[in-house]
Amino acid sequence: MASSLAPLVLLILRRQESYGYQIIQELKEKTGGELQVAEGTLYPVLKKMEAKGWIEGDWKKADSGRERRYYALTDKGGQELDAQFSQLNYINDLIHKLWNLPTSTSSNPSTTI
Amino acid sequence: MESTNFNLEQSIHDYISVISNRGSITSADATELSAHIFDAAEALSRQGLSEEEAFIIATKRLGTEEVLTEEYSKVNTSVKTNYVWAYLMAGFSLFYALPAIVFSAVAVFYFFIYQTYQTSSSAVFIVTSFHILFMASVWYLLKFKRSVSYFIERQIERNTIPFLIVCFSLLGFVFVGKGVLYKAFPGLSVLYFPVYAFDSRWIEFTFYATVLSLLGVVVSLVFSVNKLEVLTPRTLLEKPATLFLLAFGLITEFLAASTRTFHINELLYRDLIFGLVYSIAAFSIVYYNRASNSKYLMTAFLPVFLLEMGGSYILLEKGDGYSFVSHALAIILGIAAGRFLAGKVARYVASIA
Repeated sequence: MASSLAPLVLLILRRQESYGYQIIQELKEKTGGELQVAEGTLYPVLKKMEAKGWIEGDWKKADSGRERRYYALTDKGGQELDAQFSQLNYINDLIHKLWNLPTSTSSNPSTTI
Repeated sequence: MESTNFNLEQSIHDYISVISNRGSITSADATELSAHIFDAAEALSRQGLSEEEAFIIATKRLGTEEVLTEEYSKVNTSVKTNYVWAYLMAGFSLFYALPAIVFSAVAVFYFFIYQTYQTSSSAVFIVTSFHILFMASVWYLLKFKRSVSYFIERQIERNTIPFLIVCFSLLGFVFVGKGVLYKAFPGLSVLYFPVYAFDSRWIEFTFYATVLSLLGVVVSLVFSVNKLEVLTPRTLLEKPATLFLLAFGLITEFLAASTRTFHINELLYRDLIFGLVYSIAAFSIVYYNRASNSKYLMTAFLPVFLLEMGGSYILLEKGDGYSFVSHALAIILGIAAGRFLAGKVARYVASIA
C-alpha cells in the first residue's frame, strides 16, 4: 500500500510544497476519508522519494516554534510524475479494455483459474 | 477521561522514544513524527477532545510501533550504516582536537600563573581553585551527555559535510596551533612540568584528582552506553557491572594513593585520610545498592586492596610491619565505615521520603 502513495504524493506536491501531516490530510480529504493507511508510513515513503531525488525536503520553523519538514517537487520528480501518470493511464485503459471484453461462454471462468 | 496531569509534550516524547529505541529511525525522523503527532493532536483538540484523548487518537492513526519500525527500516538501514563513517571521522577529530585544545590552554594558564606568582600562596590558591572548578565542571557536563549526542547526531544527519569540515578544521587548528604554541613558549611542557614547579601539595593532589576525574568521566561514559535513562549517580552505580566496579576500585585506589602527596608524617593521619577515600567510595556503592552490596564491595575493592598491600609489602622498609598493618586496617575500616554510614543515611532518606 505504502509504495502506491508515491504518485499521489507527487500529484499533491505538484501544486505546492507541503509537509507530512498536511499531505495526509489532503489525501484523506480527496478520498473522502476512505484512505486506510497508518499515517506514519507516509514518512518512509517521503524519505525514499527524497533519496531518489523526486522531492526535496527542508526544515522550517512553524509559528508554534516547532520544526516541520517541508517537501517540494523537483524537476526530476516532475518528470517522474509525467512518466508514472502516462504509465498509470496506459494500464488503466488496458484494464478497461480487458474488462469490457465479452466473457467466455464455453465454461465457467471462475473455476478455471 | 480528563486527566489533570497529562503533559502532551512529555507523552509525545515518550511515545517517540519507544520507537527510537528500536533503532530504525534517525533523530530527524523522530522530530518529523513528533511534529506530526503535535499537528494531529492540535487539530483533534480543536474539535473538542481533551489533550489526552487527542494524543491517543493521533498516535493510533500514526500507526503501531511495529509498522513504523518495519517501514522505516526498509529505508533507513543503508542510511544509518553510511553514517558510521561520518561518526568515526567526527569522533576521531573531536576526541583528538578538543582535549588537545583544553590541555594546551591549561598548560598556558599554568605557565602564566607561574610567571606571575611563582610558588606563592596566591598561585596555590588560584591553581587549586581552578582544579576544583575544572573537576566540578567535567562531572557537571556529564549530565548533558544526551544533549551532546543528540546535537552530534543531528549535525551528522542534517549537515554531514559542513559538520565534518568543522571537525577536521579543529584538527588542523590543533596541528598548526601546537607548532605556534611551542615556538611562543619554549619552556612549555604540557601539564607535567608546572604541577611540580609550584611545589605545593594542594596543587599536586587536586591535579591528580582532576586527572582521575577525567578518567572517571570516560569510564562513566563507556558504562552508561547501554543505559537509556538520564545519567545520574544512581543509574551509574545501581547494579553495577563487574568491569565498572573494577575500574571504580582502581580509580578509588589511585585517588587514595594521591593523598600521599600531602606528605603527612604522622602515621595515624596519613592512614586516616587514605581510609577516608575508601570510605567515600564504599559509601557511594552501598548507598545505591542496599541489597547484595558485599558482592559489589568485594569486586571493587578486593583486587585493589591486594594490589595496595602487595605494593606496600614490596616498598616496605625493614622492621616497619606496624605501618603495614595499620595501612591494611585503614582500608578495611574505611570501607566498613562507608558501608555502615550509607545504610544509616539510606534508611534516613527513605524514612523522610
